[in-house]
Amino acid sequence: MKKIFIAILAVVALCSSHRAMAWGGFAHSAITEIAERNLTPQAREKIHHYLNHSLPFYAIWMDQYRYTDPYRPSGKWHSNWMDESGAVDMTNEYCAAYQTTRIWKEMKNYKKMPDSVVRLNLLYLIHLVADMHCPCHNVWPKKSHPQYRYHLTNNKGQKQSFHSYWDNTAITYGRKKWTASYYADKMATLSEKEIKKICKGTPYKWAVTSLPNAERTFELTPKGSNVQKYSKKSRQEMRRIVDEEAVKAGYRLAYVMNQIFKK
Amino acid sequence: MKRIIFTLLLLVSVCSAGAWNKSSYATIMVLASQQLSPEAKGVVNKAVGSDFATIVIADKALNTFSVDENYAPLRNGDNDALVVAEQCVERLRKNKADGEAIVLLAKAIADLHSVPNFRIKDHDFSNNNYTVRRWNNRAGKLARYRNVKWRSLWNTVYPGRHYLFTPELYAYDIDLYHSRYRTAFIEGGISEWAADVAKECRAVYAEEMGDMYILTQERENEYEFIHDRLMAKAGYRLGTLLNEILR
Repeated sequence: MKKIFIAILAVVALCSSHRAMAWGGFAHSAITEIAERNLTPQAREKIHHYLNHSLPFYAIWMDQYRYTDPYRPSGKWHSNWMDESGAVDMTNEYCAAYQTTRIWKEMKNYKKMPDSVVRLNLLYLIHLVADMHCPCHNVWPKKSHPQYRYHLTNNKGQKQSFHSYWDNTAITYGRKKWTASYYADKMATLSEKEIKKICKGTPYKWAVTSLPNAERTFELTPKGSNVQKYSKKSRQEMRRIVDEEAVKAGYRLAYVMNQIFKK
Repeated sequence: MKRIIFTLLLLVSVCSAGAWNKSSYATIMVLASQQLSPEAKGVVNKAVGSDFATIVIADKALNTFSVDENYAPLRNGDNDALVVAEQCVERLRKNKADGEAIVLLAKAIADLHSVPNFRIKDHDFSNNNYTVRRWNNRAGKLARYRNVKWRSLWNTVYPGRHYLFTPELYAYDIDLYHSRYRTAFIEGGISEWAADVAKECRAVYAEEMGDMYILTQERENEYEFIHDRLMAKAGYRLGTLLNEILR
């Protein structure tokens, strides 16, 4: 009987589909869907012209090409890098906020640029604005700050890395059948006034204002923690953090695109 | 005990048997439905008893498409996609209200356009569901390999890159990119389309591949273009064929 049970488990494991993604294919798709819905008609037309696809289609393009020449240098751009004092380091070219700022500035002259360069910049922005808001995509110097490279026990009782948990499980758990459209329907419900408030500022400020949520994740899930034993209140807070950052990322991505293509 | 294991192994092969996965079949149906003329749509919907775009194609019992070493179709038996498609066309020419033939035709055309369904005579890799090793393009300690069956690469990994998409959204995106090529894609008939698919697959199978073949990121991303293009071709061609038969 035990052998049959194990055999059945093996079959179920073999049958399950393979999905392995970054801040989650889920989160990236959801963020870009929110952004796509908040594009101006002009921006949408231009983006579809350059990309020949919608924003969600290229949600994880940077992850798929990160170690492919000539895009290899961009493999290190996926996080915000901090300096020794713990502040977002805008002199570090690996920093997602730095690259977002640089590309946004460059794209002010998009009409004078070759289509291929505009396309590439759009592909970078789509991913970088999202990754900037991921709570665990912050890199602190090893000498002066603790490194969050440990494991915890997730909602399913499985051992999972801190990074992987906040990239994926925190936002996907209990949402197996959710589509990007459904996520946007449920979460992206802010008023015009609230959207305007969120989109004020620069990528640097957005990175800085996301830091409290990032730091809260370390408090919520220290080394060896077991999410299964958490109170409902703690789990709700964890969900609030990831959803808040994802929604902000979506609106801000749309804002960046609308600003670039307003002329 | 042996009988149980054999049945379970059969279940595994059935689980991964689909040429496309359920969502990809649905996307092809949406694409095809968008090509239908109002007249054809009326006939089709009446024959199948529901909206054509929402028909669920079972992702089991796949139709293979076999060619010889020169990539000429072999028309190899009753579950050859090309044979099934041609038989369904004949049935529909005799009886336009044959709902079963419409559904079988949809599956056959979709399966005809599936790379892992492609079988080349005496070609080891195309005839066996080998494992490929998806490499992250990094060296040394940072190198990572994820093993996947060849068929799963095409029916799970590629659609998985857009797994949050509804079929309508996926169809919208595929069409956004490929609509400019639609006229070229639908030229000819089933035989020409089969030859075109063979040409596409030649590009994939030209590479020397064997079990545990290492797939670079570049190659993996190149194949995704082929996957999407074949999906577009399947949708456009199915719609065009139904328009022609059911006018």
